[in-house]
Amino acid sequence: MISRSTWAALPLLCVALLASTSEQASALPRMSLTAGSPCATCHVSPSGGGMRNELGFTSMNKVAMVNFSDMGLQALHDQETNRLFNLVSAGADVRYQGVRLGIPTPNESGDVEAPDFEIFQMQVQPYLAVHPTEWLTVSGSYSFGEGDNSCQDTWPGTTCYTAEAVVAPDPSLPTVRGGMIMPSIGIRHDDHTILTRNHALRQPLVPSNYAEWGGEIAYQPVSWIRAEAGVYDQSNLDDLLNSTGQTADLGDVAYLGRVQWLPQTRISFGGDEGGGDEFADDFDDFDAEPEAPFAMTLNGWLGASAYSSGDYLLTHFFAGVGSDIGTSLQVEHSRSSRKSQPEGAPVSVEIDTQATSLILSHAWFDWLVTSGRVEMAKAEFPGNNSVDTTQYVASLEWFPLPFVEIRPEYRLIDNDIYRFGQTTVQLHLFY
Amino acid sequence: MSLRTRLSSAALICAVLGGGFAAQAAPAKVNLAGQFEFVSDAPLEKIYGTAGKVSGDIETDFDNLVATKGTITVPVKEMKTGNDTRDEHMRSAEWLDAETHPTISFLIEKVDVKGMEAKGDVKVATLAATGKFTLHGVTTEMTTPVTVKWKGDKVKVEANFDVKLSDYQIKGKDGVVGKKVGERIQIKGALKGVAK
Repeated sequence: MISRSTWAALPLLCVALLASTSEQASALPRMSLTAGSPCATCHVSPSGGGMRNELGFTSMNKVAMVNFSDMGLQALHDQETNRLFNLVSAGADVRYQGVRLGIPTPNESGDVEAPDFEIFQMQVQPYLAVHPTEWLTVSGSYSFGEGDNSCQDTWPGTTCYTAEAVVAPDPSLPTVRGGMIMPSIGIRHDDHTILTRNHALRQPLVPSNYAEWGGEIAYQPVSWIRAEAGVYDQSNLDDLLNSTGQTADLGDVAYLGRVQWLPQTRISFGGDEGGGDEFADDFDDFDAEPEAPFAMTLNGWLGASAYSSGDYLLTHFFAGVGSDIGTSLQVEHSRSSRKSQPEGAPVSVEIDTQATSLILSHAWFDWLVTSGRVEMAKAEFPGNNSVDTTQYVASLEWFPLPFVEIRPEYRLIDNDIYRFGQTTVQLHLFY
Repeated sequence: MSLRTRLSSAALICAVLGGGFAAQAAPAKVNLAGQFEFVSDAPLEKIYGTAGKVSGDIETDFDNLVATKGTITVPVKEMKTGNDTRDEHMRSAEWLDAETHPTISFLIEKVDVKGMEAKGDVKVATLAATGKFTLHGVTTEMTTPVTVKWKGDKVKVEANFDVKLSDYQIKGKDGVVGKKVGERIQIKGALKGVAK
């Protein structure tokens, strides 16, 4: 049974779907889980995503089915830096997607038709970073729109640019960053249609290029624990939540707190090498030709973040486990609540959302990864109205050449209004 | 039995016993094989790795372990961290430079016996092995604790030590050592072989 408010939300849903499939992508959390490396290992920003640092550049330089070395371009393969004069580095993410934008609708004869397949620009975003000292990095990006649009500002709250300074003096001291920055909310996924950053009507809770003026401090004294805290302006959050109608009474600023436990362990079994139990006093099964054990490193996450301003609260709880054999499993749960009582209104209006995403990935090669995602989201509106959405995504990340990714996907969305499955394909060029 | 016969028998017994003792105490050659595990523990990242196909050519005397000499060799190309791209970085000129320095070696020059015990047929010796450790083309003198277990001619060796990257002029990328790669690398090795 579809409620009246759900039908009323249909036009909003159409806009939401159209726009949310056009969101930009960034970091790859599965890489972090399988390599046991934090996002900051490969990205300029400590929160991950966006511009790659030297390690990120040189890593992706070699990730390809046919790499530069295979093409006889050894000098490019061996390129160890993306910096000029050890001072300036540049990068970019460019994405185009072929997709049926919108939702199935009845035609004149009453038959339900899927929207036409089209190719559109998801992201054209160059980056620039300056490294005046080893402990200071100043970086920025600009997100170009398609056609006559100078800025890719699909959603309210989206910023055209980011600009941040990162001060990382010493590992024993906190890292500080400030400027027009992306708050470290939850896990920063590479696909911003993920429901834990949207709500059941597929409107973003965190738009892809969401940033605010503010500052953040991060502290990771040892490899297994990390904490972040930040204070930000709330102008873009206000734009996101209130531009089409007051839905949240915000405070003067927004606050963030995030804490992560990052356990790692090494397990091995079988074989007869490697010390430990193999160094026991038992010589009965002694074999002078050692057999290597099966060994792997398990990397984990367990964390939570809270982002709040006034009567708005967005929380994320996340966990993940990955191994250097290439498999990773992530689960994230998000909840948001907002309340607003416009002047003169008799009662306050409350909206609550929650979503859970489960992602399983396996890298068969570093250039070929399969992923499956199951997501459930629920949004509750005033008057006991609610919307439930389930999304299934199966994707292939294929890196045929250096800095080129082709990502075919099958997406199935099932909610109170429609059920729509489609195949999409994304071309991602990056540097 | 005549005196002559008794003397001849005694001489034979002594010869057999003496010969047997001499055979047990004679230097033995042990070709060891096994694997090392290493850990880089930096504030931003902990990296586990293995070094396979580690070999050792050792000459020792199980009744006189201080006479032990030999070399342990680790092929750099067999070092793995579970991530191919990271492995390629590790072997590159900025880090271990596997092309120029394809092996890591420990030339054992002196052994001190710190302890000895027997657990049934298994003998256990705790040693301090001193020698020339060569990494990245830089050689330093190193003393490392080593445990040796043997039963008959079967031998197991275990060693735990760490190396400081800067001692071997391994600089890596600017700003990485100390943040994402540990300044010291912990190493644990287990080898085994048959004495000949």
